Amino acid sequence: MEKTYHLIDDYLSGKLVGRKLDSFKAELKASEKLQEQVAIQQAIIETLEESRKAELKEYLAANVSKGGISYIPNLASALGAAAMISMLVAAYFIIDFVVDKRTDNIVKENTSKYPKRDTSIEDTKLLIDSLANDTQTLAISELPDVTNEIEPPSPPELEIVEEMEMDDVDLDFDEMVEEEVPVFKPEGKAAPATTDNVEVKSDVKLSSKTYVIRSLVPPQKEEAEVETVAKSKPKKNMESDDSVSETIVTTTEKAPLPNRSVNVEYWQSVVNYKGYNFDGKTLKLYGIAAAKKLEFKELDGRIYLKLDGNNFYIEKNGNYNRLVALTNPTLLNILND
Amino acid sequence: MFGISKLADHTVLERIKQGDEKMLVYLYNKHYTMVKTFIMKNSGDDNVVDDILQDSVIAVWQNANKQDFLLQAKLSTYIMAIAKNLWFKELKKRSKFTLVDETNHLNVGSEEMKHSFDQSIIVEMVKQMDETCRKLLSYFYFDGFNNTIIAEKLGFANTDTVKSKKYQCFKKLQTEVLKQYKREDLL
Repeated sequence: MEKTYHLIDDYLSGKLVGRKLDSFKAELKASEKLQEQVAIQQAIIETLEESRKAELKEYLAANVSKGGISYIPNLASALGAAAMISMLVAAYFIIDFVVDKRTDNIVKENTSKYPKRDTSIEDTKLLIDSLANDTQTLAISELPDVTNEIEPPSPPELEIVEEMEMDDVDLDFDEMVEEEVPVFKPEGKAAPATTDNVEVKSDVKLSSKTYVIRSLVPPQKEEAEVETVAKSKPKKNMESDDSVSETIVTTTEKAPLPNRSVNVEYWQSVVNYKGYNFDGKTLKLYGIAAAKKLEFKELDGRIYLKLDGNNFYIEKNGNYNRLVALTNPTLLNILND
Repeated sequence: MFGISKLADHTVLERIKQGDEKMLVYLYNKHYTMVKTFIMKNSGDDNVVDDILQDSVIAVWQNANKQDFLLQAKLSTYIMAIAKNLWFKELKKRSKFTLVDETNHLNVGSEEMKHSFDQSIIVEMVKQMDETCRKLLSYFYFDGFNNTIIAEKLGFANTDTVKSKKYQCFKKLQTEVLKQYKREDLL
């Protein structure tokens, strides 16, 4: 019985297919009892469907208001959405107002804070920075007091410039640059800090000493010849060498030049510069310890420095120079002798 | 639409397959204005809107649980198509009745008298059944739920239990029906 019931169920629901369906149809055609059973089952199923449909309709009728749509929740949602939109719009205008006011205040503060901005001084600092690319020591050690040398333009002049039309302004950039560039005078003074934010380090003078420059007389031609002979025959006549030395010494002693003195200052560079600067009176030595032994000699109006066994030519030009050891053997012989 | 949270079509269908009857209300509310506008523009009135929309939503409920159901358009389009068909069918029925009334009374109730028995009596019998049997038979024959879903909803151990319980419930109802009617009435 149960098997027949499920078979009829599948037949009525259309799930019965293929050979099973053919077999069932054949049996249905042959059996009146089966036809009756199918009819009864179909009628009950249709009734069940109607019953369930009525049940669902009752459920719908109970859960939806007359007219289908429950307007109260819709109204509440609409009001809520409208309130939220209103709040957002109000918040937008408030924020916009506050931001505008704040921006105006910032602009006012800026205009009142920098009405007399000293552009010349700022430009001069930039120029100094650019010059410092070549010799940092020069820029730092010889930075003049720009605040004294460059007078800031008065505010009315600035306003006039702003009001002038560009066509009327004859800009000569070369002249402008010449006017802007400060004239540096080497005074050995460190530049004072013009602003609190910029810390300018300067070279430090460690100590100073005064040395005597020993003057040397250049050897005569004959003596040079003798020296040449002595050099070519050093083993044969050792005494001749002594005689040459004696001759030079004698000559020096015979025509002595007045010894000069030179003031030597020992400096420590902020950029660890090693060299010298000689203006004829004072010799600034950078990166050389004061404890080292120095020996100055003058030959043909030129001053030579002997340091650590090496001889250096000290050029009198007021510039920063490096110490370059001499390699000319003749000159070295004269200086060492 | 205000007041109704918007659900994706596939979500609605999925919840219908799970037997969530709230989806009926959701679909009804969502499409009420649309269906009403259509019926009012096509010789309808407020009284039929409710019936048409209820039938449309219930049709979707039934079809969504069919194994071969495949939604190829928006769910609202599908519901509107069902509502239109139902309304045109109703209009056709009304026109037929009007024609019959104007001529003579031949073939009266030929379509309405489908069965020789009073179906409402059997409906009452179904309502008198115990709740498990009634729900089981309704879920299977009308809603189209598969045995797995029925087992989950009614708390049965497995699908075999659903199958045997269904047979028992059906036979019980059939016995009651046959007590009320003769076999010939049902054929």
